[in-house]
Amino acid sequence: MSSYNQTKNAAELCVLLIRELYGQLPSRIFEILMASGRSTVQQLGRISSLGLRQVRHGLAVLVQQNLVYHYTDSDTSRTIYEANHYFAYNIVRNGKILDCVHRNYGEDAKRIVHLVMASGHMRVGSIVDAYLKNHGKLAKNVNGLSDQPNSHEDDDPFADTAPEEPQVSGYQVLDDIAHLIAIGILEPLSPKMLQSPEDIKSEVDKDLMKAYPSGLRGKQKGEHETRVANTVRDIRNKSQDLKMRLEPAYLYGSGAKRRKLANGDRSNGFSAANDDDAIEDSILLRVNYEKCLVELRNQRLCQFVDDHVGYTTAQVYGAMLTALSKKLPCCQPDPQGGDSIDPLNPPTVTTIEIFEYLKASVDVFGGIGKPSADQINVTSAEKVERQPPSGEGDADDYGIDGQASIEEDSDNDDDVDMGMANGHLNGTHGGDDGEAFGQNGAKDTKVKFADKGPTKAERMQRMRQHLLVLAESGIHFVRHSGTRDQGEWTVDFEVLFRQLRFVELDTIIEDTFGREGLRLIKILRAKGKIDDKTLPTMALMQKGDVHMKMVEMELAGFLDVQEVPRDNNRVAARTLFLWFFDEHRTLTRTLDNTYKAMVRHLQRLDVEAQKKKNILSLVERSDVQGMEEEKLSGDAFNEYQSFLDIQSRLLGQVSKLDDLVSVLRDF
Amino acid sequence: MSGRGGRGGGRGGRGGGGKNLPWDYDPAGVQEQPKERYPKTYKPPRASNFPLSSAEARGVRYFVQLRRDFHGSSLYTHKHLAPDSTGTSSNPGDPVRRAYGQQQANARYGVRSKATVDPFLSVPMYSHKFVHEARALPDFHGREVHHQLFPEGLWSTIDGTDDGGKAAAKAKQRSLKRKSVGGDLGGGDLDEDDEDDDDVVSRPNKRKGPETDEERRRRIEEAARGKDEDGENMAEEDPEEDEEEMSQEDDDFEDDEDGGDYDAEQYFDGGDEDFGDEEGGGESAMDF
Repeated sequence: MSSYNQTKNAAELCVLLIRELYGQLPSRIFEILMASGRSTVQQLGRISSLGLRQVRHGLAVLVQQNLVYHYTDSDTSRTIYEANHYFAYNIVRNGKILDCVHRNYGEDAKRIVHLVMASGHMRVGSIVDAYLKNHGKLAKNVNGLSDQPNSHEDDDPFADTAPEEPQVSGYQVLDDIAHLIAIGILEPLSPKMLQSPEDIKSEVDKDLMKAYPSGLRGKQKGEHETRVANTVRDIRNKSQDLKMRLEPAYLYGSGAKRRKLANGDRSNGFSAANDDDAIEDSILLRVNYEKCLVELRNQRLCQFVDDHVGYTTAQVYGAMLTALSKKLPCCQPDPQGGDSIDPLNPPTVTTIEIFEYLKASVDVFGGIGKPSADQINVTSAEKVERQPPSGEGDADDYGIDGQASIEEDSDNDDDVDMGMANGHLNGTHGGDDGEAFGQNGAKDTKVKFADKGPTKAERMQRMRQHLLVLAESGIHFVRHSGTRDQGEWTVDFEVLFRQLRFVELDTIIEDTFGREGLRLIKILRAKGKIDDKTLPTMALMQKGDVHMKMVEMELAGFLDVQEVPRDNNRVAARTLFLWFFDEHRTLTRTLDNTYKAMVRHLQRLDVEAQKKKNILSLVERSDVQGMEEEKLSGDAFNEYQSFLDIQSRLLGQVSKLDDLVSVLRDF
Repeated sequence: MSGRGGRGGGRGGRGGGGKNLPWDYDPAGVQEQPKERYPKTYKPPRASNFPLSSAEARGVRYFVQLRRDFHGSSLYTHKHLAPDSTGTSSNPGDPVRRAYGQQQANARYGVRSKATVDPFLSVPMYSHKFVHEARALPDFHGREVHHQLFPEGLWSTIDGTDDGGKAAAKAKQRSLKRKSVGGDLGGGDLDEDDEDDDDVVSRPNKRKGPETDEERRRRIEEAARGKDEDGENMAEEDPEEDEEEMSQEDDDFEDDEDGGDYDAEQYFDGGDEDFGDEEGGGESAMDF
């Protein structure tokens, strides 16, 4: 995660985000931390020419919000602070994450995450207290802007009454918290997690070196390194203990609890007090952005599928990703290893598991056409790929595997009505269904149909068709990786996002240079380096046009040219000019431009706020806040509305740009 | 580039072969006239053509909500403290000036001092009681803090006892003037707390070398307990004290001076105390 370089624009963006959310002082300290690297309080004071007291206060806020790493050397007892730009960037995603949590886990979960987000980290006990304190009020005005969970100053008359909603007890809040921990959206925070990974490693290294007073030699070196890596991993996994303990009950358990939160509705006779004793009041929690990114990624992928394939398929894909993501703690493999996920053997989900997550409201019978049976190549549709597409596997092996599974299927071909786009016969597995259900148990209360129309088995088969469509599409959305439990599915995120990155880049290129530019770049990408003379014939374009476009794109930094002299003279006529497209460089350039655009938007927001500062200072007043419409005069209110409009556009655009950054960098 | 130009010139007699070079511009495409800053052909996309989807709008709303919550909390430090904080230009649309060096960068930020008080707004008014005070320093009073997450250098800050060594200095000064003051400051134990070694002074076992985890835990617990006791002390401390500190700290150079017998900064301080009340009201009146 921290492997990308920081450019000036990225640093500026982080500082602006902190200023926007947390205020001036922390942002100034952070700016200096970004510019000058690891520093002590004294150094910061000297560079910033701020008073040390101010520096300390700023740092305290930054620590509270998890925005800096700090490390105290046990020998010299000097404390060094280091900017955590990963967390600082994530500020921009806060709104999106809250929305995602709201959608997937309900209003209560969102409120909890909101509380934790607003105060950086929080004790379980105080989350419950704060939640209960605010809840009555929240229930009063659910409709958005006006609720204000943190205003402890003004005593709220409704705090305890909460007439519209049944009173929420501390147990229920605890239960929600436990669920969020089990999912991984909240994580227990330990002091170690506020040390930078490098510091942890060097400390472990130093500790272990005590065993070798005379230094390392020969074989000991390798031994030592593995021991260091193991210890570091143990330290990191320690924070996962609680999650592990809660997981069985909340994710893999009977399903009752899971469904409760997933649907956001609470049954009345709900009993919480069984294993909630597991979370103690004193545990500190913070938001785990890595897991949140996984959720955001799911959302983004659904959107892609919606664009590429269709709405219903996107819903099915969403269910599949939800099922899969409970096995994925983070988006990108940790560069330092220590992950439980083997890139060659990614986690898989079975059709039955996916079906559990499919919302009852999704009509899986739509969205796919009905070609006749002879138009379908069953073999290729049902092909099982056991290896990720880029891996060099023994192709024949899998071919045979695929065949085998097809033959099994095709036994029943005759007596089943065809009608699936990809030729899978939905009666094929019909016989197995009952059995499969029996084996798995706990399947009785899954999805309830309003009208006992299609049976569960039919629905599941239809859902499977959608997955097969996805697996067949040119973009590797899904890989059909096995046949257990009516099919195992997985997603090769790395391969997939490599393609999606190209999709995004292509959009940018097309918008900037037109279709011709995009065509030329696609040719270069497919063929590698191409001589300047062969390019026009390949692109079926005029030579002059090609040159114009290429130069234009070179100036913008998307292409580059390499000269290869054919002899010693280096005459231009005897030189090959090879055009090429450098993916990595284009990516970093585009990213940097995006950061810059985000910076500009935030600066603009500041300017707009300055322009309207009279009206804004009025709105900030505690007697006006929350009831702007009644208190403000007509003109003032209109002006305030226009500011809100500008603000939502600017922030909305920033979050759209962040979508791009996520695809290009984080997913 | 110049080398290529020379070669191109040399071969010019042979019929301008340079035209085929890939980096060459089509001369028709190159305009030598000075250009307007934004070419007329460029039409920036307008935001209204791409309205936010409902999910995006919700995301923005949640972000604004979160921001409002944090701005309402005591840890928020206001972005603009004084009206002239965005530099000297009166037009907010003007681009931010480039800053060379830290001093110029710092000059961008508003300073809240007696010099920047707006005389028209600083008179206490009824409506001031609705206005949030512009905060220059985050306030950790009454917040739940977890000492184990903070390095020890910040413990006094999060306990709310961090006064930059000034309380001690002041206490000394005052005790010369008024005998009875020294007791109620709560920070009296920070005596001789010099800024430069502030990080290490608070740890008693510095000389003993590295401490074990258990010792550290015990110390954290002690600090947490100590905070509770301090809480009462802090409550007693007069609010006027705070206000004064705040207005002082923006002229930041003198922070690490104890203030001796002859201290120009403190010269007029005795006078300040007399009308501290009015001044307090004035400062809180300032919002950006």
